Amino acid sequence: MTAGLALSPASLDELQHMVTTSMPGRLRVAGAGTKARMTAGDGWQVLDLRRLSGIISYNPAECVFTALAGTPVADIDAVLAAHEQYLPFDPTHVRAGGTIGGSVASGLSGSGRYRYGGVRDFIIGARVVDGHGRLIASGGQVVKNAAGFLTHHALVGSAGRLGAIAEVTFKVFPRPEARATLRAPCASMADAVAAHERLRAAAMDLEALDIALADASGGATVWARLAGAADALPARVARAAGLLACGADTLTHDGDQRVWSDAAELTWAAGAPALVKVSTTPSRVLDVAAALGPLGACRVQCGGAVLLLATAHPLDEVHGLLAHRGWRGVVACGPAHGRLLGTATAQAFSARVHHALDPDQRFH
Amino acid sequence: MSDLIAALAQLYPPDRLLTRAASLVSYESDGLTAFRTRPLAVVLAETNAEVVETVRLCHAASVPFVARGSGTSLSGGSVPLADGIVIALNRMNRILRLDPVDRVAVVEPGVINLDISTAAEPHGLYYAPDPSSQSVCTIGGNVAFNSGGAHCFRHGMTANHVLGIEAVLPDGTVVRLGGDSVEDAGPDLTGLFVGSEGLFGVALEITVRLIPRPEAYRTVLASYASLQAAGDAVTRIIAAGLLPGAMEIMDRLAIEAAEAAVHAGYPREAAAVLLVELEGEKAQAEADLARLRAVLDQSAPTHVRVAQNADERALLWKGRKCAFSAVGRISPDFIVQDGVVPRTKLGDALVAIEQLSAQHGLRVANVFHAGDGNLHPLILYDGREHGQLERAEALATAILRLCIRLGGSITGEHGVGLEKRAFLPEMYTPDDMAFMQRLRQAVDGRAVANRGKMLAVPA
Repeated sequence: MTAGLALSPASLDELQHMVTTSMPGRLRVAGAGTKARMTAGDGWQVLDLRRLSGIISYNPAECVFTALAGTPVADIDAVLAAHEQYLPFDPTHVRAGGTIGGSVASGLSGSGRYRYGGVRDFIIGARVVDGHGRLIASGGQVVKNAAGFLTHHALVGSAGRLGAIAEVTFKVFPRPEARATLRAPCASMADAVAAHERLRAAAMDLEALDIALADASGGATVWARLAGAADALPARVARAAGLLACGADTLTHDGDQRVWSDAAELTWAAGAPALVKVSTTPSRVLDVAAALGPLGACRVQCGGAVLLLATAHPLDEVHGLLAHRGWRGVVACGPAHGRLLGTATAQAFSARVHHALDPDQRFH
Repeated sequence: MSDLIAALAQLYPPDRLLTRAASLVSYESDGLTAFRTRPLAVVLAETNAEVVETVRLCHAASVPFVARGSGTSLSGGSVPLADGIVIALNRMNRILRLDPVDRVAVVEPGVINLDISTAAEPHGLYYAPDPSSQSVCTIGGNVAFNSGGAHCFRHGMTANHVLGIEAVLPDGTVVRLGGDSVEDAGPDLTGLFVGSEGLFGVALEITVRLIPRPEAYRTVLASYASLQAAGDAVTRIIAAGLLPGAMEIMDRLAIEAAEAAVHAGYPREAAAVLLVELEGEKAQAEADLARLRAVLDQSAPTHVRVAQNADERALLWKGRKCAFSAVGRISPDFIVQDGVVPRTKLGDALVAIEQLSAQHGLRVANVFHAGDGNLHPLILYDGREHGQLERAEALATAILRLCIRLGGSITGEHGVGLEKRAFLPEMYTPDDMAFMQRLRQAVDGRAVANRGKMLAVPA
């Protein structure tokens, strides 16, 4: 990010003022830049929210916290961990300094979303500065709430295009006492999907279920994480290993931590100009992987519901391929952050939502 | 307006277009009988195309419409609009697809909530949101009001279980939001549509997530000598790192009513009972149960009982699920409230409700989802006695304001509807309210979709 050109509000008032006085079409909201990777220039201006940082409230007994959007996820993780709590969806880019507002704006959840859901399932409220510079709240501080429009849901995955997310409220869960991870190398993607279906078919409560595709060999590795009471875990892990039936080995403690920390950091995708998130399903994922594999490195997450593609190919090419098959994706990381790819069927509604929040199109 | 009726008569055969007063009566109100309005007409839609065309015609004529399922709304959400059209969706009750591998069901809006779980059961799957009315309420209404149930802390609300919606917007435009993946691409517009109380249009086809039935449940009933002690036990359970699927509390009056109705075996001498349900893999559920028992032992219970089998579990739940109707047996009339307070403020809220109850001279039975702070005070009154209804309404208002003051919400799962419309501006700022009006205006410039619910009608 080019120093000096970015707007960098230190308070909500400043943020509102900067939005109000901005030129239409010029603002691009940024946190730590771990996902959007934008630089100022070309006539638009970065609205850097990193100074809007800090946890505003956290009551462990409520399992709810509220933080300013620019708060690093790592800071939140540390505070939650001190009270044996966590955000179960494995927020991404934690080591790189990613912010909680960035997690919401990107809509990108990590591998842990398999068990209890992703960003959309843990956010319970937000405040956003709209295109008029007004601070607008939705949701609240309680996990159950049916009052008013769920505007905070629209912010998940909005990529800063609907407004500047200023503050977010999440529910959190108690952190499991112990964790263990199974690693099962398979000869092919088809074998990996079959192994991962055996786990899904059993009534097993896995925290995460991923498939990492090897680059050239055609092989693939199933990664499965279990968590819970320490004394119940060994039996559960043994049962899952039996179901995987491809010579799985078990990682615990540091080994387990490192694997999922790397996965959340998307180290496998490092260096790719764009990370595309494709919405898929377990029964479709083999086809999706076969179609997108030639375009870059892939990782399947969430039991086959998500395929991440790290690609250097032109995004138009990815778009064309997805659209041709009726599939959908979004650029989750990279300068085209938030660009929808493939089949689009919601424009008539999204345009109206956009008009309500940012009629003058101040936000890019 | 007669032009609209004429156009509808082209679209529907006479037996599916109701215009005579006698046939409109049963559509005049919903689960909240305090509000009654006679609609201009009711159409019994059977296809998406009929719904879309009806919406388009209403929009063209600037006549308001409300979609209606089973009419179980407790906030007046499906009360008709005067001179408006009711689009009854009960006949659109087909499960279009149930995919056990991808774990989704694609359903029409008139499908009954519980029917989804029944259809999914052979595959070991179920649909998680379980409002107390789940055996009659429809998924379309659940989507409109973001229904909850007893499992929201762990499992979330309807918004967390709906993956895709095909909807007709208030001007007749059809859109598809989301899809059949648990992870959508782009803004979560599906989540935004849920809970919009019909103001964004009508959901025609809904894709819901199914989840595997837990391998094991462990259900425990603990009784206490005070409500406070039961509330404290909930705090201890969370502090111990347990994540129960449900935690429910009932007070003495609710216990008495439930026992009289279904003999669930709740101890009648208890001031409060706490129902806790653990779920998960068997090994995990057993480990959690041991921990839970240790926590409960520290919470000064008068009695602790663990359900020994599925029948005992079902009976414990039956007492809770029937509490509302059971209270109906001990009082001629009641108002059910739906406020939420932060979980740690439950004790404060209950003490305050007790005081308010005494002040207003009316009994209040308390049944609540303790895991998520959702209170359901049942205000008992006798409508035949002069002034009691007014006192009951005043008490209900005082409880709502209490919830706002304690940092909670005026509604956990019933929605704002007509009933709590006046209170939404006490929970949100003028800017927040103005935005909600702008959003509604952007989606529905003529305010034809469920006009007057949640938000006041713009001048």
